[in-house]
Amino acid sequence: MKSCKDIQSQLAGFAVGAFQEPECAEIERHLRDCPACHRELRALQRTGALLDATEPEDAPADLWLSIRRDIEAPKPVPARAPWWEMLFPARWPRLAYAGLAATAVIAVALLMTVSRLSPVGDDETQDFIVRHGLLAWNDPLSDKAALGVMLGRGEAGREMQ
Amino acid sequence: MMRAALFIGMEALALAVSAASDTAAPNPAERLRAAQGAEERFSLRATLNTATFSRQTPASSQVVVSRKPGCCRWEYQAPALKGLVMIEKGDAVIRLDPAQKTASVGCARREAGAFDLLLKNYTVTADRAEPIIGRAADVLVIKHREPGRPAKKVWVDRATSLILRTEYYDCDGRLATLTFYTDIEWNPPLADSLFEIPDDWKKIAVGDDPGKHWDREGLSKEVAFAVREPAYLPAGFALDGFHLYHCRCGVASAHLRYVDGLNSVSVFERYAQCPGRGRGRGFGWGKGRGGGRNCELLANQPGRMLVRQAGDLSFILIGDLPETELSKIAGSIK
Repeated sequence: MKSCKDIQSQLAGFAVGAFQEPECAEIERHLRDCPACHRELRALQRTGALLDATEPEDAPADLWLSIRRDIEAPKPVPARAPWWEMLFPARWPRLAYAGLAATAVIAVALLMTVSRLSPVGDDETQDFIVRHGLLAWNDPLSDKAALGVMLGRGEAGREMQ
Repeated sequence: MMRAALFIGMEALALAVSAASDTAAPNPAERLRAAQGAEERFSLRATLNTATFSRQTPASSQVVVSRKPGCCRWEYQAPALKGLVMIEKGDAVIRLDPAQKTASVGCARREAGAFDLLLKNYTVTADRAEPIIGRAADVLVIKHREPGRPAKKVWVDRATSLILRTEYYDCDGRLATLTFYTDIEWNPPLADSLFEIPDDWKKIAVGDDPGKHWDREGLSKEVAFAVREPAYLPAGFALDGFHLYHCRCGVASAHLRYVDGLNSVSVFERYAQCPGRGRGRGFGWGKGRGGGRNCELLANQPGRMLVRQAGDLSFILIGDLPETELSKIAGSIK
């Protein structure tokens, strides 16, 4: 029986379907009984989905040529460079940082879009779901421990106030 | 000849023994009926883990349970739940919020006949024997007679009939909720104070008593429009009752609840136009903060929540059913 640490080190591979049947079955068995690892898997899957939704940006066609030109070119006498060149002295790092910044902007925009569309962000939506759950409290075989989580997470306080 | 007679006699004896043992073993449905109320007979202190794999907001917590006949206390250990405690005492459901030192008290009445409805709509089969926390247990599977409905698996303790583990599968067949005991201490000393609201805490009563049933006319007066019932319900569902519910902006909604024994569908009906995003109760029309808004902003959640607007009314349907079924119910409200 593998520990949570072992399983979590395999989750990224598991999330992308990299494992064959024996490993898969073992991880699935562990996930069934381990909410912490299952949560970890969900987080990985969400991150993967976000990355999948981001369009990769092609590097400029002359990138490597221009790097080579830069390397082979005679070095000029250093002059006082503007602050951004001091911060990002070579062309490639500047491009990399620009790419990172653009990715960050896209990611933030995506996150904002997702949270605006997500029903979870709407407290009032959650209120109706909580009310629906509260009335199921005494239904046959109701899982009251799980219902308590929902009532605690939602605005049960307001609901019950 | 003698040998043949002996053989036939032995066969008959074996058949009789087999028939006797069949009648002695309770059938799975009766085992489930015994299990459903078993927990209320015991005094125990236990730890259980519960996890909800909701599509939007997965959550889990370890829970310390203290139980004696007529009372139960659940103490949630997950940091995200900030010390939440739920107490059930008779029909009262109490939520203790340590951060605010408030106790919210609601009522959840038990409906007679709900278990019979479950047995009418669902099949109960004994799947296998599987020990859990070192105790012999049998796995019972509860499945709807129709496809595309939720299902449940329960691990029933052979010695006590206590349900030691529960798995709930949603209408898509995905594991949605999982709860299981990790240890149980039988007959521990349990102080009465565990099941009481601490003296210096503020008590808050539920605004719209969820246990109160209204008749259709009375509810129509409260919400100021004629409450409508769906003409279509999926097989096996029956009306549980009419309830009143005020949303956070103060608008009164009619809450119609339908049950099939294991699953439930809520239909909320209310005016579509809210007065605003007011946080409190009792805001009248136009008194909410932040200006008016249309309740269509409530988002659909496939397989769980569907919002439809007809004229100036909104219909909000919640239930673990395929979206096509929720749509069909919504479309039948005229």
